[in-house]
Amino acid sequence: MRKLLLAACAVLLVAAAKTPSDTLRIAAIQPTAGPCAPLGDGASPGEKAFYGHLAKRLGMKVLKCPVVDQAAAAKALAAGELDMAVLDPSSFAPVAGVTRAILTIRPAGGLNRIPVMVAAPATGPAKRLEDLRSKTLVFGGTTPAAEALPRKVLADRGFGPGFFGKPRVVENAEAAVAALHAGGADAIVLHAAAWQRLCTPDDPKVKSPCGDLKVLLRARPVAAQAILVRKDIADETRYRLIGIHMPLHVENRSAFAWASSWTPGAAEFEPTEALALVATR
Amino acid sequence: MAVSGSNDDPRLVKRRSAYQERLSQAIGLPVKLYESSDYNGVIQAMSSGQVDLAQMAGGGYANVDAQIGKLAAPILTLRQAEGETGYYSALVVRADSPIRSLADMKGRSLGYVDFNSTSGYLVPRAKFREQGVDPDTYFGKTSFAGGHTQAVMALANGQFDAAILQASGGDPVHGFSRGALQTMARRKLVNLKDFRIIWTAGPIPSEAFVVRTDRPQAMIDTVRGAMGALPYDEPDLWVEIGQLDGSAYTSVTRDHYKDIIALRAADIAQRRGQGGRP
Repeated sequence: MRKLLLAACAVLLVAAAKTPSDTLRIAAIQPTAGPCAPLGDGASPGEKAFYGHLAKRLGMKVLKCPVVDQAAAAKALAAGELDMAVLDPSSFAPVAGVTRAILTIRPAGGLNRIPVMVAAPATGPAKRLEDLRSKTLVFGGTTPAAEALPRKVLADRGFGPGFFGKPRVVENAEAAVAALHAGGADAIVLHAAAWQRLCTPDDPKVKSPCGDLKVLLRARPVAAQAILVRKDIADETRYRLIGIHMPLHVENRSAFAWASSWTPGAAEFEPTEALALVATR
Repeated sequence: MAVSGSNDDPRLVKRRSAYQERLSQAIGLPVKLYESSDYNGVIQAMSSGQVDLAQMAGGGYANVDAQIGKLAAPILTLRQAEGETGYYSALVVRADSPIRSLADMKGRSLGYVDFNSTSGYLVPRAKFREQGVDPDTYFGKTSFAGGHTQAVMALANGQFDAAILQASGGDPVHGFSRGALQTMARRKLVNLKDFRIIWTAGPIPSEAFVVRTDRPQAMIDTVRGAMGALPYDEPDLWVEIGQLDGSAYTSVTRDHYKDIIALRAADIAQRRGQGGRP
């Protein structure tokens, strides 16, 4: 009975692995739009490597779909005329209801897209970021994750230099919380891992130093660009596309160099949340 | 999928269950967990092809690699929020111990975790040798506790003067927020302030998801993608199962573990030359 069940599941898996058309159509920005078609002889070696890699791993035809810009790519993706495209935040916005990000690129030496937390005293007047205008933020460190990344996350959401008062930067997360409690700041800014380590102690006997704070923001930096698909894509197909792209930099360097050329100094593809191109709050 | 370790940690049990559910949903097949109380069970299950996928530390993978070579491959490891893909071995004593350094450990008793433990045996022994300490003669007595949990309890109960334990979520300069001691503290079995780290080795490449390469490539790709997307698809669950917010899986190959593989080969050769005692 067990063998019968496994055999049936295997048949279902194979069936589910096929898209309705058995074809993957990829947007390609070119001066002139045109119908989706197999790569021509004039394609670069890297482009051929990428299309060939995808075709082999997916077991389906991979077609190139010329579009004139990212806005056109977004429109065609939303309309079901192609299946995958690289978009930026502005081209994504009109099609956010029907498409989603699946992959971004981490540059060499770059951080993960770590969430950032902003927290203020729960009993204080600040209920949202807007209430912190001209107020003092304290950052828990000078590392890129502790300072530069949070500044970008805030700027992504319209809270750039000049919105808050002069910030304080202390040596670590513990010092930041201490400064807040001492009245030396109005809110703390920590990356999520630092927050988790400090504010959610493993030892239940240890009292969280953040128990009297409320979180005003938890958000990742907005991606500059991302690979998108339609939201109605089967999870199995989405996972496969992610699983093929993640090791591309080690499995097929030529294909990776071509496919990641929209981000200078790319190190690897990394999975991402659906709204990676949106400044979520 | 093979996993090793204690079932006493609710967060670990929840993590396994979450992975099982995620993978089952992703590949459309029931995923059965093969749970082993020791490292060797996972190693043998993977080497013999009884399982398709396993979570194992570098030392375990090195052992599998020695047995079946390219029939197994690491595909994912955890990249911490700040970018590290490694963790540490920590030489730990009780807080009231007079032992302050590795030099003070001469002639003292030391508990290792398991022969197949990367952080609890393989790496610290290599580091001892690098620092001029012969781990086979320097300590008064050495033995295997059988696991990180057992090693912590044995240390707490005074069975060893020191134990080698896994430490993560930080570094020797900034301290550690994760590891064997923290796991036990969370379970209210020990108090963190009762212990002190006197020496560390690392960083050690973090544990990997290892797959049998003779399985369908589509399944391997789907598993990689499903696990890779987990922290982004389900951020709350990611934290609930004990992963650090902002950490994520990244692709790795055998090359990522080549140093551990070399250490394992050297250690096996050395043990064969001395009758196999720890």
